[in-house]
Parts: sequence; structure tokens; C-alpha cells
Amino acid sequence: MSDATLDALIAAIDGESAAVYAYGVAIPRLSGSLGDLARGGLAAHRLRIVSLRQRIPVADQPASAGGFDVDTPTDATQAASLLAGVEVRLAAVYADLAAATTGLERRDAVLSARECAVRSVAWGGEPQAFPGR
Amino acid sequence: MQARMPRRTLLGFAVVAAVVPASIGCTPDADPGPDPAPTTDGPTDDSTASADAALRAAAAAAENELIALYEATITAHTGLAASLAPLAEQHREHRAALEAGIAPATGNPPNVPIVSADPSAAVAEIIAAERRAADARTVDCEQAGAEDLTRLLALIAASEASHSEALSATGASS
Repeated sequence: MSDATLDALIAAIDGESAAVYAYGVAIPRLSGSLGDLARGGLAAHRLRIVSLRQRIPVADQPASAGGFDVDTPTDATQAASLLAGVEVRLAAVYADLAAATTGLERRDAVLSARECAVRSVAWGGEPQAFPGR
Repeated sequence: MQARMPRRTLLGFAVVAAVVPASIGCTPDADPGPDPAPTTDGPTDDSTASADAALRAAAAAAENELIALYEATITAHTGLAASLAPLAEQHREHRAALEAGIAPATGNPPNVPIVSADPSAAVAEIIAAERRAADARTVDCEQAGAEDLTRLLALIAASEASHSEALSATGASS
């Protein structure tokens, strides 16, 4: 694995970890169908972290990310806005991962970028020509 | 960036690379010449640059088709302009980014698409076209050589997927 690929994978893990944290602080502010949507998003991001870590050799595994600079939302509007922002930024991270990989790994990265951009809009984010850029 | 390439190379590859939605326009007249598709096992820099330029041209042509569909839909249903115009503008940004560094398209502009008389059906057609475009750019991205083009196509695929989501959320009320 090239250094560029490893760096991009670690950036994706960091971004996914930030997303898991954000969903964790947002979910208590969301109820009903929004709560369901958030729990689905949280599960998807947790799975992505597992999948990304499986592609990194043991010796290169990054430490668990932490110390996220996130204002804890106090209502549903703030929670949705937080998640829209986290998702769209993660879409750009996955576009970087696509550029650092080939073949099926690249396809997986593009599909992840698409899912993140879609979830951002589902949380009320405006569609962007170049999501997260 | 490769300055010029034989027209047939460009068209031959464009047909392979661009899954241009047939329902929203015509594809270039294909010449299935002997040009081989670029191989992944060690292409030269020149062949990678040529293939990337062809990908850019084909994707830009697909953006043109989408823009034409948006414009025709806005003309037919002015009440949809507020929701559609910002998305059409993003496709113009996609096209400009794709055309950076390649010769501008010289072909005919896309045919004016036929738009459903029912606004909801017209929006549904745009949603379907956006989904096809996101899938086509995903395939393009897998075939791209240069990092910057790969990243660009990934972002465009993500953008177009998000357009479908935005229109699915608002289209029902239009």
C-alpha cells in the first residue's frame, strides 16, 4: 500500500469517527422518523470504520480518533445542521480516497461519497456542485 | 495535458465511457474503430492523458444533456424554476470543471428534450436522469487515470446523487 493510499484511508477513518461522534451527540435531540434516520446513519458509519480498518495492516492502524471540536446541539434543528455538515465534509474525504485508490476500492470510495452527499441533503443541507469542497 | 487527439479515438472511447442516458438525447455517431480501450496494466503517460481527455469530453457532453433537460423543463414549467435553476447551475459548474484543459466541444448542441406536461412527471424524469448520470460518472471515475480527474468525477457523482435526493424530497410537492 502506498503512503498516499494509507493517508487517505486514515483520513477516511478519522472522518467516519467524527461522524459517529456527531451522530452520538445529535441522536438525543432527534425523535420519530428523524431519530430512525439518525440511527441508520450511525450504523452505516460504524460499519464503514470496520471496513476501512480491515484494509490497513496491523502495524499501520491509527489510534482511535478523539477530541472532536463539536458544539453539542440543543435542539433538532441544530442536530440536523451538524449532521448535514459532517456528511458533506466526509463526501469530500471519500473523493480524496477515490483518487488514492484503484479498482473496486475506488468504486467503494465513490459510492461512499455519494451516500454521504445524499445523507447531507437528507439532513437539510443544500446540494453542492462539489460536495465538501 | 494532451493537446490533441484523433477524433476517432475520442469518439470511440466516448461511447465506451459515457453511459449517456438515451432518453435525454443522442450519443455521438459511433465509429467502432479498432482503437483499443485503455488498459490498466501499465498504460503510457500519453495514453492515460488521451483517455482522461476523452473521459472529460464525454462527461462534459453528458452534463450538456442534463443542462438541456433542466432548461427545457424550466421553460415548460416555470413554477419549477426556483427548485431547478440552482441545480442546473451546478451542472454548468460540473461542465466547466470537466472542460478545463481540453478543447471545447465542437459538436452540435444537444437536442431539446421532450418534457412531460405533468410537472411531477417532469421532475421524476430529471430525478431518473440524475441517477443515471451519477452511475455513469461513477463508472467514469473508475476508469480515470489522473488523480485530479478521479477526484472531480467522484465529487460530481456525489453531487448528482444528492440532486436526486433533493428533488425526491421537494418534487412531490411541486
